[in-house]
Amino acid sequence: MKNPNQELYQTAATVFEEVGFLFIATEPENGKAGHFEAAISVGFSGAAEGRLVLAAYGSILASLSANMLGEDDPPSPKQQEDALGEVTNIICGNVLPKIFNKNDTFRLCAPQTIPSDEFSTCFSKDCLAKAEVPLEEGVVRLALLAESKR
Amino acid sequence: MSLNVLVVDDSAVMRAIITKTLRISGLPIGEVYQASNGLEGLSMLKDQWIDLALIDINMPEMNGIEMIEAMRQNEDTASLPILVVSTESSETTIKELWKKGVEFVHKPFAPEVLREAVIRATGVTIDEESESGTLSDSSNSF
Amino acid sequence: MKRIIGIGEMFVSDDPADVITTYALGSCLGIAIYDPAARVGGLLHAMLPDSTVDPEKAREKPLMFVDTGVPMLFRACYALGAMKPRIEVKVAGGASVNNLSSSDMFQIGKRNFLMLRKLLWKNGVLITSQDVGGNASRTMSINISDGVVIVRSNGKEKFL
Repeated sequence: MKNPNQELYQTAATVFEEVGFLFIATEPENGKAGHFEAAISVGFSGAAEGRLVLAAYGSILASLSANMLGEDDPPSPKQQEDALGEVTNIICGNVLPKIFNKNDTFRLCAPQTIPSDEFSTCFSKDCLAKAEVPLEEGVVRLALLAESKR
Repeated sequence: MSLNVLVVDDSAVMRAIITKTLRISGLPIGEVYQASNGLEGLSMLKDQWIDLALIDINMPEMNGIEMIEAMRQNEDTASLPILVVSTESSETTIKELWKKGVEFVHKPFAPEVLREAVIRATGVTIDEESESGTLSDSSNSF
Repeated sequence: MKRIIGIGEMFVSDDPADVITTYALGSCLGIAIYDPAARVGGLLHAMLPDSTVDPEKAREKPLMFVDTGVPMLFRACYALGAMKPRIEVKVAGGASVNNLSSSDMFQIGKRNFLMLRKLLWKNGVLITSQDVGGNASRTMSINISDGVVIVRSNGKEKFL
């Protein structure tokens, strides 16, 4: 039996490393939560219905978006949120077949920015999977809320 | 000959990443047009000369699968090389795409993987004299 | 002539008789670059990803670090006539070094390769071929006459 929390953590860590070139924190002084930056929700339907919510704390957005674009300076705030949205979308698309079935088809909605309290409510619920990824620039928290149609 | 490419993805950052990859690939790339959903993409195909379309699947308004269906039913675009760049992981969907003659790149991708897929889809080869990345002033640029 | 480089060293050349080799690439990264038109190439053996963790060491031995060593490798080859759009980049090493005394929690090999990818992406350069990861130690050499890179590992030889 796959562990959904581990699958979510591993998928998110890999996507932040490979797409955003952000390293997982190995020193205890890094990887602290810091202030809330932004939260994203990606809804999905198909073999299961639900949504993946992700929140970034610390100073993740600027580094993530600049690294994704291969620039020295971070882009506009709008593009920074777009970058976090795309990363959330990639995590969602990759984690669903790992938790459900590799042949299942899912339809993903466009990423949407959500307020901090909406994220907190989702994160405190009984979720299918939860993860906290400590990065050198801050922390990312994720919660997968889903209902299987089987 | 240089390829005019259409990039269809609802994320502006992803469109920029794909465009940069094409520009630094060493492949002969001409114009790169961008659209944020399938409808915009189809309209771009009517207005511009396009040699290759790179299409995401999950998009608002019209998704990538619907856009590919529409392209295959139009004789002007029926045989246009298509590369799907998506998080899609369902083996059934990927096999269906292959049957339609569509190449597939899974997100997240290394830029080298996207370059290989463009070569497979179009048969173009690397042109060593083509433009490469721009230099910036920071200490670790080269 | 056979040129051997150690950890935190590089050698660049436009002499077709030169073969540059480095041994014992574990989590370290061997980065070979070559311009086939100018017949100029070089090899760097970098040990750690990020120079900012030890600024003093970085000043003393910048070639130890991927983020400072790689720009130096490119610039040294440009000085001999290499041109960026023609440069081929071949990479080996970045292994996960697990043994009884360490569990590779810092994942230096993976971080070295990620740092290289980040740097190349920022500078608009793609990798031509690579043999990275795994658990084995590697030996890497580049032949300046034709740019052929050979990686030896576990008694096997591979052309990159």
